[in-house]
Amino acid sequence: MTQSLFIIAFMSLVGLMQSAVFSRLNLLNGKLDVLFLFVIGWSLQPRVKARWLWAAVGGLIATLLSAMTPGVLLLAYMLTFVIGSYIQQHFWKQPSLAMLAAVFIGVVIIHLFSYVAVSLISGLQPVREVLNFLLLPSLLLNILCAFPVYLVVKDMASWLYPEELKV
Amino acid sequence: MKVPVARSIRPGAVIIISLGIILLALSGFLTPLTRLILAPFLQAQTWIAERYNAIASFVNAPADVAALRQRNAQLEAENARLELQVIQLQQQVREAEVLSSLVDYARSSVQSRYAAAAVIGYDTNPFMRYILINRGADDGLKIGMPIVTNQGLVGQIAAITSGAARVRLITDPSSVVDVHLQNADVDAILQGQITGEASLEMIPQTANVQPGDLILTSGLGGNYPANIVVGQVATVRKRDFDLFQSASVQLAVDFARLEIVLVISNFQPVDIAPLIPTPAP
Repeated sequence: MTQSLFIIAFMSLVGLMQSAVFSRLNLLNGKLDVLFLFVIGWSLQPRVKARWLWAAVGGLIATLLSAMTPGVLLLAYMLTFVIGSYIQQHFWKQPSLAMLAAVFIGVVIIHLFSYVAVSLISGLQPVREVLNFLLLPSLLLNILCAFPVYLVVKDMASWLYPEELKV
Repeated sequence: MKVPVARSIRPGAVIIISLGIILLALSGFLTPLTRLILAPFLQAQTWIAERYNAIASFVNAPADVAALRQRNAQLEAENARLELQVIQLQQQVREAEVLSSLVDYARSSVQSRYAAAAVIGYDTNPFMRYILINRGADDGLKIGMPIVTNQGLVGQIAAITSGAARVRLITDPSSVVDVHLQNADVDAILQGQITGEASLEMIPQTANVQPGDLILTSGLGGNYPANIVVGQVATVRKRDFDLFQSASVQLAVDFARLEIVLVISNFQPVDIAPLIPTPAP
């Protein structure tokens, strides 16, 4: 219960920082999504039991903070979380490689979902502009910040969920 | 027993001589003499005092260094506090300048009532061009109210809570604004782009549109008041086989640096949906 409250409080704080600060740090039109990076970081912590809660809370906060069609970001975050966990369990045990791969795939998924939603609402958007001005800059920004966020998540995981000693 | 005369007058002579010397000294006649006599003593004393001070400072050095370090830390803290104060004052000056220009703008168009609001957040999704402002329903704001700055049109309130509102910028892909090209005297549509820019669409082929033409809101559609500056025409695209011309736009507002905006609080958008004819069943 305490951990769940902490998760909600922490992700809310990250969400506020994302909206007030990180959303202003643009590279072309790409944005750094720290909420998403935290969700990915938690998906790569195999011994944490309620990892899905981080993804759910992160997705809900992202939905609240964005004008994107409700549910799109939550769905994208949850899918990203599942893919991150899958990558970590089946492909790369090395967390740094798993983090990079998960961030890459996750950013593409979020942009793909957003692109579909925006195209349905506002008409078909030019793919080349989306690739050049949104997806690629966002990929670069998020990959650059993936490692620092992962280190923070790793420290938090060992603090919040201390490893049990086997007797 | 008789006291000799010479011995009896000696004290008197000493007193008189002493008084004479004192009088001479007070009147300044002895100054060269005293300077000459005292100079070697003073030099010697100075030399001794300097050596003493050097030795004393060497002996007491640790205490002085500690005191100096403490003083240095105090001064550094004071310096940091003053620097912070300078930054805060500069920030206040900048805010005052922004507010002053907004007040000037509000005074220039007295037919509208304005409510100032601070921009507290940007949309987290790169596809969405929305901002959050710190005024909401409790401040009398409603969905659809236009947002402006002293530079021009910003957007429209799209969603609202009691204490905050979400504003759709005119650069959002879903944003459409009816505009009027002042020089060409024609109406057109300003459409937001996914890249955070905007373009002019539906410009009649016969219109003579030139780069630099001023773009104002037309008021058509009832979503925005008329005659708010939107921007300037940047480049025109005119092809013979197209039904309409189009143009890229240099927007008046710098959306990356929005800090304080004005809500036109006495404007009620008109819902024209019931007037749009629907096909008969």
